[in-house]
Amino acid sequence: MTATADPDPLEAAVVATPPEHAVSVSPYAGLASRTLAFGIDAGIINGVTIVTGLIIGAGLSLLHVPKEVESVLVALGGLLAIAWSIGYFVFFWSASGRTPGNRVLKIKVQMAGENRPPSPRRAFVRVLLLPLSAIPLCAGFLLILVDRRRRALHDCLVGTVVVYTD
Amino acid sequence: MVVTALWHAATYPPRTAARIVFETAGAAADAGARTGRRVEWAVRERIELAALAALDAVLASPRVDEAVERVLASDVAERSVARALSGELVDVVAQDLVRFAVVERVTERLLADGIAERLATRVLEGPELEVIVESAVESPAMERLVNRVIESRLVEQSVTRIVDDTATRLPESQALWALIGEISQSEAVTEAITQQGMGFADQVADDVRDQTRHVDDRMESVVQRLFRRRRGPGPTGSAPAPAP
Repeated sequence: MTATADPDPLEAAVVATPPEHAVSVSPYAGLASRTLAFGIDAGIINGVTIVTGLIIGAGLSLLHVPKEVESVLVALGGLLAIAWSIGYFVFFWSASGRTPGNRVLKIKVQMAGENRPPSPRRAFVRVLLLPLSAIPLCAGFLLILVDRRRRALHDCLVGTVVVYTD
Repeated sequence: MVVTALWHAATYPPRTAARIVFETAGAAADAGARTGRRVEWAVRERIELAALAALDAVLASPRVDEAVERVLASDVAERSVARALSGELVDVVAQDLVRFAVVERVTERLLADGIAERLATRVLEGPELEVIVESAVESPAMERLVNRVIESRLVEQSVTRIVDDTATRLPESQALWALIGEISQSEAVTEAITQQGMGFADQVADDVRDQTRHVDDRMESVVQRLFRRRRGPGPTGSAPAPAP
């Protein structure tokens, strides 16, 4: 969970880049691409959650369940929504490193210095640490703008990078 | 013969003698006439032969060609032809052609012998027709003619009428709507529309991707300039500012 010091072959591309093109040819995905990809993923997750919640809510409205049971079901639905969100990212990051949003933007999550996606455990930890980057006024995400490998706080902690795939 | 006739005239009675003398004179006249005709025929034949020989000599002469060329080069031939054409000769010839059905007979003869068919085949298969058509099509006169036809009011009105009629009748045609329905439901069309939609989505995604990467670079360069300004002027290098 600490920052890895593995040599990254992609970093050689950054170092060897001429000064006038130092930024434009970076192989690492920037803040805008990652934010837009995350927005697409959030839209998919929320869309599925809302549609599922509406279907389940409409079904439950016909059953006249007691209010206590309804509260329990709402809490259970919230937990399921959180699990769905976490499972979404863990599944796609650990499978190929690319969520649907990442596929649209042609970026992927991979281990720093290795061309392989993170393991499910690391992907899970990365999801859990994701809010950590957002807590201090998104300062953890702004780290992308100044880091050589365009890593956010949770990337530094888990040892992952986000790269362009083309 | 005359002596004999005189002898008879002296010895016979007068009437008989006169008859003998007249007969003898008639025979002598006939003989003279025959002799004259023979002489005339011989002289005429000699003259004709001489004329033919002279004509052959003239035709064989190299001067004949020169004389013909001179005549043709002069305006005599042109004036002669012009005078002949401006006169009644053409009318007379035309009337005779019509009166004796010359054109019809010549045409029938040509058709009967297959000459017209062979001629048409030769013209259609030969390169001459192609050359003529090509030169006619590429000529400025043809271009002007076509332009005049296209720009004429008649063509414009016709086209307008055709378009109006077509636009009016097409929606009423059941066959057209059946055809449109058949085409729209065909697998090729739906596949093409799907591919076009996917291609459009890909194009939009590519544009969005390019723009976001541009924004990535712009944001990072702005932040890097900000950090450099705060740290003061330093050595320029390719490596971005280190993480804080």
